[in-house]
Parts: sequence; structure tokens; C-alpha cells
Amino acid sequence: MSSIPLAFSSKRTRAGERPWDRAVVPLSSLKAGYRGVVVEVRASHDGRADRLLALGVTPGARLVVLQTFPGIVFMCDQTELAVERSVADSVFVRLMTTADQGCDGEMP
Amino acid sequence: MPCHIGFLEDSGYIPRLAIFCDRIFRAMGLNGKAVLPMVLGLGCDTMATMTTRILGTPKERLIAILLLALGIPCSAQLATIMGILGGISFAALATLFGVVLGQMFLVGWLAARVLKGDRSEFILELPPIRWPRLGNLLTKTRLRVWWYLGEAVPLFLVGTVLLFVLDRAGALAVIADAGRPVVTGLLGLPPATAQILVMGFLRRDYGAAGLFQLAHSGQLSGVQAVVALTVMTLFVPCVANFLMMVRERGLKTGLAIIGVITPIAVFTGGALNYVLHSLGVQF
Repeated sequence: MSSIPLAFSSKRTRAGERPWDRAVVPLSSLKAGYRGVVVEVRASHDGRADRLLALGVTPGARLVVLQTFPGIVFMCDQTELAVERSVADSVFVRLMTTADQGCDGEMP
Repeated sequence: MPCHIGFLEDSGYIPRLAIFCDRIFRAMGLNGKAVLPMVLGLGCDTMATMTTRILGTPKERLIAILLLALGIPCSAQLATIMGILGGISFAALATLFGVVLGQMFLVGWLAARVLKGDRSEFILELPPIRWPRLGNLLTKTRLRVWWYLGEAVPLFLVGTVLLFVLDRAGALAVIADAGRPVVTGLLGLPPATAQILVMGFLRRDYGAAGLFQLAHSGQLSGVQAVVALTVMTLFVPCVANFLMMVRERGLKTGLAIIGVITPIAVFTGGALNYVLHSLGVQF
């Protein structure tokens, strides 16, 4: 199975946005409290992407990181999921804008 | 026991425990999900061996089954350990669990490197923490008990029949005699424990009771009790567990597991006996 393409690729930028506000980063690089939208789930040999998709980690899903230790726990839409770091490396997330984020929005 | 496990499951506690344990289990070639069979194993290793079906890959299942048989004390073993060592000292208890957990970790770590295959990745959905509903819990417990009665009890019956036949045929005494030099020499235990350890394999609760009597009649010193219990805990729990391993993973694997665990149990016991004696430890 190949990578999941961007479901919607919005090139629009809002006024006053900082460059990193729309940055796409792996889920594993986010700290607790960060919010984002799933952009891509990279496939691997063992059907990892299929399992994530089945659990609702699909492009366009909104997620909030709840904790990063000992495992990465995040809320994806209505589902709370726990994954290990190597799995989180393959989920790419676009950070939400500072206004949406409700925190300082700095890149981790 | 199924009722308590059901309570933990329904409350959403076990998945969180799985996250917590993921890192430790990863070193042993497993992932956090393996915590469920391990917790169940504290109740009955035979039942827990069945629940390894939830694990992702054949390698993970094999390691989990091996570790269950090796280190996880079932409720009969736990009761014996607590009953005997609880009356001796906390240090004795800590020594036993320290040795058993250390051995489990070591064997798991080695197995993860020696065995072929992959571990599966840890992706787990977390249910919300909730107060379990009594009705659900009771239904679940009822179904579990039925399932257990259907799947595991026949194996216990086979174990008991085997014990009876061996006992009548005099084979039990022969095996015990053969094991006696090891038990008295290497492990430094009274000769009567040989029979108890053999019985313990066929029916763990018999072995437990035998050891308990021995300890209560004052025939075991503190060190001897720790050594005997360590060997017993590390040993394959019972013949039902062995039959379950055979059913789940095939005869070859079942025999291989026994072949690995028996020397580990005996030599760990021997080493422990040696170390405790040379340090002059008295519990």
C-alpha cells in the first residue's frame, strides 16, 4: 500500500500567519497540548497505515496530543489512541494556527 | 479471578497499563499489549497461554508463552509463596521476586534476539476510564468461566489422570529418585522435595500443598524455602499449561519450551543456593 495522499491541499494562507504555523511535522515531534490535522500516514511493510486508518487516523482528522511519555497518546477526532514512537514518526500532521491552537504555537 | 480481570478491563485500566509497560516489553521483543496475558497469568498460566492469541506475530506469542511458563506465578504458586515466605521475612520474598523477574527479563531479552520473526507495533485504542457496569461484568464473568471450564478444565483432568497413572505405575518415584541427587546436591534441599517438585509439574496445587506442609513441619530452612520456591516458580507451571502450549503452538514448540525452562529453573536455583550460602544469608 502506498502513502495516503493529501486529501485536501489548501494553499491558502491567512494574514499574520507565521511560516511554521502551517508546518507539516511528524506526530512524534509534538509536545502534549499541540493540535493539528493529519496530512499523511506513511505506509510501511507491515500494514501499519491500514491499522491507523482503520482507527480513524486519516488525512483530515484533527488530533490533540495528550501525553508523550511513556507512550504517545493522542485524541484523534473522538478516539483516544496510544502508539509507540516509531508509529508516530510515520504520521504527519499540519499544526493548527496559533489562534486555533490555544497555546503559544511555537515549534517544538 | 475472571471477575477481577473483567473489572480491570471494563474500567479501561489495562490499556493504560499497556502503555506504561510498552517500553519494558519492547526490550523483550513484545509490545505493551502483552501485559494482558501477563496479568491474567497471575490467575492461571494455562488460561493466559490461550489469551496470547491477542498478540500480533508468532514470535510475540512464543515469547509471551515462554515467559508465562517461566516466570509468572499462577494463583496457586502465589498463595504458596506468600504462605511460606510471608512467615519468614520480607527479604526472602524480595529475593524470590527479584530473581524471578530478573530471569524473566533476561530470557525475554535473549529470546527477542535469538528467535526469528518480528514484533508488531504498538497501536492501541484507549477506552475512556469508566466505572464498570455490574450487569456487563457479571455477564462477562459468566461467559469467561464457561469458556474456561470448556477449554482448560479437560486439560486439568488429563493432568490428573496422568499423575494417577504415573503414580500407580511407580514412574513418579523413579523420576523423583532420578532427580534426587540434583535436588539435594545442587539445590541443597531435603530429599523429600524431589517428589514434590515432580508432582508440582503435574499438578501445581499438589506441589504447592506439599511444599507448604514441608515448610510448616520445619523441614525447610529459610534459604531452602527461597530456593525451592524459586525453582518451582521458574519451572513450567503444570501439565495443563504444557498441554495448552502444545495445543497452541504444536508439540515441538511445547517440548522446546520445557527443554529451555527446566535447565534454567534448576541452574538458577543452584546458583541462588550457592550465592546465598557463600554470602551466609539467613532469612
